[in-house]
Amino acid sequence: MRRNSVLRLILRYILYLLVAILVSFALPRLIPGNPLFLLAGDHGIDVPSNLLKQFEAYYAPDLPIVEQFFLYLRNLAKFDLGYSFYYKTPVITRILGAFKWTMLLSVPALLISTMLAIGLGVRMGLAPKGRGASLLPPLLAIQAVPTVLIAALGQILLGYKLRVFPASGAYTPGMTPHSPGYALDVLAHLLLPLIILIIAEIPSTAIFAYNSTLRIKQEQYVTFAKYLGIDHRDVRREFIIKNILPEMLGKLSIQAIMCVAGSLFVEAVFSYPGLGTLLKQATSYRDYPLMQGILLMSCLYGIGINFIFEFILHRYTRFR
Amino acid sequence: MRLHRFFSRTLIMVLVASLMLTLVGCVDNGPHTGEERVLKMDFSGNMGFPAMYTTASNGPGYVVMHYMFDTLVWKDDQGEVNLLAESYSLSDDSLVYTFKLRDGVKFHDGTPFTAEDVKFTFDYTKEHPYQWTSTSMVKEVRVVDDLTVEIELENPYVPFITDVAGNLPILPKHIFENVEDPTTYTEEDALIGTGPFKLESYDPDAAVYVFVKNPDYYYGEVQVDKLILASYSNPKEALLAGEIHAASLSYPEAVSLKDHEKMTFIEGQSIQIGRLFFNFADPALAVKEIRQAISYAIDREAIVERALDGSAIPGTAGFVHPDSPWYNPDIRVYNYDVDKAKELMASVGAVDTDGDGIAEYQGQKLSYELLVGDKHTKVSEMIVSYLQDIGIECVVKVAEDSTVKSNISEGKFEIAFNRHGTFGGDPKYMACLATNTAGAIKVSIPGGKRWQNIEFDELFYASLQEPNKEARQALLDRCQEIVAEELPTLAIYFPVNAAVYNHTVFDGFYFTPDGIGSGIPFIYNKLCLISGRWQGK
Repeated sequence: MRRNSVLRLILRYILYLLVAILVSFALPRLIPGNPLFLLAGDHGIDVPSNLLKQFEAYYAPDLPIVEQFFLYLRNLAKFDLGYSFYYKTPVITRILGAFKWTMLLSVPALLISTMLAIGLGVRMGLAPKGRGASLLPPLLAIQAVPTVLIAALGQILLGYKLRVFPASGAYTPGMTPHSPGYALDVLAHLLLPLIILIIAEIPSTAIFAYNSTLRIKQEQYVTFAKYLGIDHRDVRREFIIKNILPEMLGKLSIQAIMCVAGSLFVEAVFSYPGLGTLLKQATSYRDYPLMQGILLMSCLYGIGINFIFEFILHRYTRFR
Repeated sequence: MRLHRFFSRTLIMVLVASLMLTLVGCVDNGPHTGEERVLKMDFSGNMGFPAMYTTASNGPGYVVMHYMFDTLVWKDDQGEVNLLAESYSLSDDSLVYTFKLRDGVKFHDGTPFTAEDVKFTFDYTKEHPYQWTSTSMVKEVRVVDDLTVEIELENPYVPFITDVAGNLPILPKHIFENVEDPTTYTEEDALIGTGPFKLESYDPDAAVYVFVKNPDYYYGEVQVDKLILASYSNPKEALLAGEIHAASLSYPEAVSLKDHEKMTFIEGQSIQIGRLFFNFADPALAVKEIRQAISYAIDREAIVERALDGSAIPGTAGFVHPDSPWYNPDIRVYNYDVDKAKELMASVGAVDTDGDGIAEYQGQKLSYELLVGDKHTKVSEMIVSYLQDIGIECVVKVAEDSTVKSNISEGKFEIAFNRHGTFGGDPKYMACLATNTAGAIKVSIPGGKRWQNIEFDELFYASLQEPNKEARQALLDRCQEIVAEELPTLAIYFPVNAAVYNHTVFDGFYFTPDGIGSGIPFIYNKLCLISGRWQGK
């Protein structure tokens, strides 16, 4: 029985994976405009023949579409995402290089914002006489402002005017990983985008936690526990907080995906060298292999996160 | 109460932690920049690995490479100078260029530079076409002695010096003779040239280029120790904050810094063009009189004033820049004149017969889609209203710049507006109006028709081979007359470039006449970093 349901879970994810691959295969082929015309530049000079050969070898535009798809699958199996037209290096190295910066920004943002938000939301929910609701308007206000705007305001104010934080980039240009103080420099550059991401992510999780807490607070077993005279701190910990966790886990998996999406906008504002910046460049230079690679990797990331959370939930609910 | 305490406690903690970190960061950064002369410049994005064949195929891509590689001739603020060449001469039949090379020049790895390297580069670019310049007109390159090289052409090619010798970076033979595929070769020694800088590091993720000076540079002492190129999301603010010392800015941004005490504003020659493209597959647009009517109907001066804040020169009809020495001032002039435009339309029968305000030509309504890049919406709105005045309806279709560019080259448009560079220097750029250009791109999807004029083609190709300046001028004068009469394309404006630099750090930037290389409108010419003065501490 149990093995069966795990199997079904895995099968479902293989299906998702296939859809993602199909989309990433189709999308670049649907965008109008032939990328090779862009490579030709303003001079009308021939596209370097090697590049053309690489393009033809990878895309085989003359083959029937089904064969093109199988060729694509074969390449994927070898982790060959093709050669970037623009960078002239393998796509996978460019993506991993940018992915590392996006992770550096979005993982701490996710962890810190979730912890703060759950703490805040639960406290708001538990506050006596519904006083926690007074914090809702400011949270909703923050949530209503687009992240890009918060980022741009933060950059102008804290970065350029007050100069509390470095205003753009991931480190001071000119430093290398071997320079003394590199780690601190990276951290200093990380702080402003990080704080902005955290601010942007807190409201939705906090409101979610607040609502969950309110609902569970009114459950009969909580009321009953109170009548039984169980210490109110234990009621909170054992009866309320533990019971909102599964719901929060579901929310967290959405946040884990959203925070990468959110960080793409923040990256653009701060010229932070992550996937967002890379995607922007790949799109404007019609770097098909790179666009395709980023698309596929983000899909894989999303599917992976979902799978992990679903698996955790699956086990969690069983043992309960 | 508790809620409050929790909130303020976290807030204080975050603030204190971040403040401490930034302080530590600052203290740590300080001492490194004291003695060294470090010049930081804003750069527009990631240009890839900066070797000759791997760098991006756009202007900035060429610029980032040119710090390490030298050409035979180059340009400074006054115009042409000899760089790797000490002198050159042309044979009487205009076929053989003899270059005397500079003695004592060394590549960054210490290998002496000789005539062999020049021969090798020309041969190599025949096998591996270089995206910035074609060497297909070269018949043979002969090494006469270590420091003399003869380049024989198939046919006379007048723009050879500006187009090829002034553009083609000379590669070290001892390295590239072993490189099979230079388009994917990204080893460190792919960056060894003779230029004033060596690459210290390139971060492909953050798009940061760090160069160090070549202490043995033959052309003069390099005035900075380190040159850093990085992209900033807001170069104007970064310039004011002292994070960078020079930047190319949009015209209004640059003008706003004109009176700043630390900043110098420079305006460059205009070597770009914003123009209308017509698809000649459309029966009405293929009629000369209708294109002329369009030209009369558009007030180019008003567009420059209102849509561009005066940061351009109004377009002229001959497809040669009015500032160019080759410009023909006697070509047909189209001053804004709606009545004349309507007359022209009527003369070919393009009139509004059903009273809906849109003219018809051979039963077809003159209603078009105007394809424009997202940065040019203001200009296109004005064009639409001007065309409406003469009964031509346009619906603006905004797309991203690169989509516009590729749709134009594929002929997938009706009327399009686009701005592009390479519109300075030798008028060989008129080639884009000629039709028998060799080397069409293989995967083309022909969706339209181009203008064709046999007389223009013949005159233009003759002009490329005419060594006598006056005779060539006569040919090009006639070419411009034809273009101005026929209007295969319509110049709306020639934008002016602007840049700002912090003269308290480094002084002496300039815009290179006709642009860096073949028309790159930047102030980042490597020779400014030799002739300029370091002003910092």
